[in-house]
Amino acid sequence: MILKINNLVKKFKNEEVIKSLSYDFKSGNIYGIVGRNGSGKSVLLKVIAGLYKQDSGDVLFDGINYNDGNNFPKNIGIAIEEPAFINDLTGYENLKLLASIQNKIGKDGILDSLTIVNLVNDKDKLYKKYSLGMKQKLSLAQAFMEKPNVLLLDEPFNGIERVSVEKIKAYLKKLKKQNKLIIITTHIKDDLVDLCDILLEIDEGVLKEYDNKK
Amino acid sequence: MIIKNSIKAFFKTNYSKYIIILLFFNALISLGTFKETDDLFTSLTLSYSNSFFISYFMFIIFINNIYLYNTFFKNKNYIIRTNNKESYSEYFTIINIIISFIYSLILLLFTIIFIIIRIKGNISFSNLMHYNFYNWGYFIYFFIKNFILIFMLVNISKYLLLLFNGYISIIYILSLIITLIFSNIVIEINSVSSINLLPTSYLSLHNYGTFLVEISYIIGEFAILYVICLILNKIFIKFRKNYI
Repeated sequence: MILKINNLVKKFKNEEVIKSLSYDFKSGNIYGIVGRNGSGKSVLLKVIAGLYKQDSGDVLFDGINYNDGNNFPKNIGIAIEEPAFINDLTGYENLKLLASIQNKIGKDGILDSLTIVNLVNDKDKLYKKYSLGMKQKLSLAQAFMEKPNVLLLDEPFNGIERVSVEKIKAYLKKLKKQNKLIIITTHIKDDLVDLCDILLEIDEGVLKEYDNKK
Repeated sequence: MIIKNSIKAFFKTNYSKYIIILLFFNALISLGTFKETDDLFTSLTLSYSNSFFISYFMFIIFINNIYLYNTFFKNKNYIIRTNNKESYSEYFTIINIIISFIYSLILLLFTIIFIIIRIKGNISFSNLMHYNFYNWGYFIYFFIKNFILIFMLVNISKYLLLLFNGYISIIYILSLIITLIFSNIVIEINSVSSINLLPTSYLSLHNYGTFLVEISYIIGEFAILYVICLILNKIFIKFRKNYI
């Protein structure tokens, strides 16, 4: 699978947040995008996910441009910015609700994804009682649970303890071997060096190879 | 499956409990709309045609709409699992209809309890003031008609929310409430020229001469609102740029 981005431009109130960005992301790789806050990395992921429509350019999944039509991109998992769940439901209930939209997985699939992120023991706690790290883990569990072909993860390790980070990284490496495409953004390069195959840098909406001399 | 699960999830939230408390106060308004000597269905019809009673309920349905949007439909995890923009809009509408209808039944229950207490259990039937048939039949029609009308009017606010922002949506709903209060006068409609063009006037109790004429006017109003919703839905699918 190739995710091809051609001359992508995204503006907010006439300010270009993404500036004519082009890049080919290929499945079987983990891409890391490093950028400071406000560099456009989260916006890029949202455009790829179909949550934002670009002002010009194309986002093509194996040649199909979802953003121009009636469809949202298929088979994609996201954990972008702060987690969004319902406070009065438990972690498990939140995932069950989301899983029922596509009906691809049952209870086992949900529990598997909670196990991957080390959250299975807290699955019956109300979401509003979760710590920041637990909320982040739940966000990753929902991204993983339907085993999508493309994963878009924005600052995925925020607030998560080291043991769980290592477990999640091991899982992402396993997914890579299953020919999945994984794109991770962060403002801390050290989070990604031992994980990513290709390290990129985004600054003021322009994407380029990461300069290792930095 | 998603519709059933979303509704179950919705009623587990504290928010849904607060709405039930608001509905309790909504039903209290009914106490000022009829006399102790009225029977149950006359009292119900008078309550459900009272502008403050309807406005309050319309506002509840509106804030429910905003909550649903912010919790379920502005939620990126929800959006990316939806197949396409039409399904996204369709889920939103269906879930909203079901939840709003459940709320309208809860309101009905509270209202019936308050009325029965005030009229001391006078559940006799009488003829309706305008047409020559039993008032219980007319109330069932009036309840369903008002629910559909309120839902369609509030549904337009959903599209204003999706296409513009919450402020436009609030201005729209407040305009509806103001027009409702000013158009809530019982009038006789005996020619096309006496028809009120304000959509909220169809929530009130008017005398259309015959029930058939009333039904024709109401169906006409439903058709206009339905076409407006369809057009707004098309605009939303074509022009909505950012989903979160």
